[in-house]
Amino acid sequence: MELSKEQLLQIDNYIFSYGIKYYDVRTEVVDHFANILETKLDKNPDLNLKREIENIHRNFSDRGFSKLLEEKTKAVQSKFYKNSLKHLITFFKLPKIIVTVTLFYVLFLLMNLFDDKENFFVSLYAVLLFIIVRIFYQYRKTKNNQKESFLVLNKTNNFLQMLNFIFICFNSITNFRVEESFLNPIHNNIHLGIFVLLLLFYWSGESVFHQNKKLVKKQYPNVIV
Amino acid sequence: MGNQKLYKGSLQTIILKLLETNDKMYGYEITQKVKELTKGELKITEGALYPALHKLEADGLLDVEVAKVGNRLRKYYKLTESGTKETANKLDEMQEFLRTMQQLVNPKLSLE
Repeated sequence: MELSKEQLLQIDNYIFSYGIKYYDVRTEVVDHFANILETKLDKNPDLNLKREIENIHRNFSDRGFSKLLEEKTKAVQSKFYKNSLKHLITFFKLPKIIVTVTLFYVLFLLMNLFDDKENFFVSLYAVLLFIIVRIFYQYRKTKNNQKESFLVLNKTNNFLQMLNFIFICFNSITNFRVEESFLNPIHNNIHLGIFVLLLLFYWSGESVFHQNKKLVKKQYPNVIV
Repeated sequence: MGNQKLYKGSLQTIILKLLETNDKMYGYEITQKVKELTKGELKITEGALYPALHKLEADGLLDVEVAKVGNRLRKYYKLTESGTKETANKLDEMQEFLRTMQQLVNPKLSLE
């Protein structure tokens, strides 16, 4: 006996009330509960749905849904970090190493065009500031556009926020560079190298985030993301 | 019902083996299939099954496909290319483990 939309909604609300706010996690649990209920309803159509949902929940695990959510969060984060790192590593292998070398070289040439190197690094500071604003804007946009919250996007968005924090720290730390430091080519090259690395790291994170977003859109076409 | 703890470390291998045989499966289907194949000897709890599935997915061994079934969405799992390779490795490991256990538990039988 197939469950009605109302009965499915009842399960969905129950699971939501027990802390599974994320749509991508909830749909799977709802389907699981529904499968058990359908089997039981076939045997006994007068089943008390509410009580049965509570029974299934009790049998789910010793720790209810908390272990499931914990493990899923861990899995999503680990997959995201792994994929971002894999993407980042491609910038140091052929053919993408050309992008890395070109980026560094162009910036290096640009830096040498400036007599006062401090002015050049101020422009880099502005680039990072632009990215910081962009990440924040994207975070707000993703949050507002979603009818439902997705664990896979929420956690990757958090990662971009963390990256945002790293950028802010980098900008703040480099602010402490004194005038003599800008005359030292080694200091300038290190500064430039870290900047390029951060930029590529951001590129990787952003790219994996968009891959995830595309995947979620494909898997859940009725939910705007 | 036997000691469920003994099966605990084999959960990933069981899932991979089932997916190798059945192409794609969803969570509830896996629990029922295991119950059926083991004649109720092994019952996989949902609290153990889903974290294991999510871990395998995160490790790139499983792919996910979401399909609309009736009024609801269903998440299907299937093996990726590396998942297929890993299944073969895990099954070899399992065979080795079973042989070793046999030697320990029943040395006479293992010599035959």
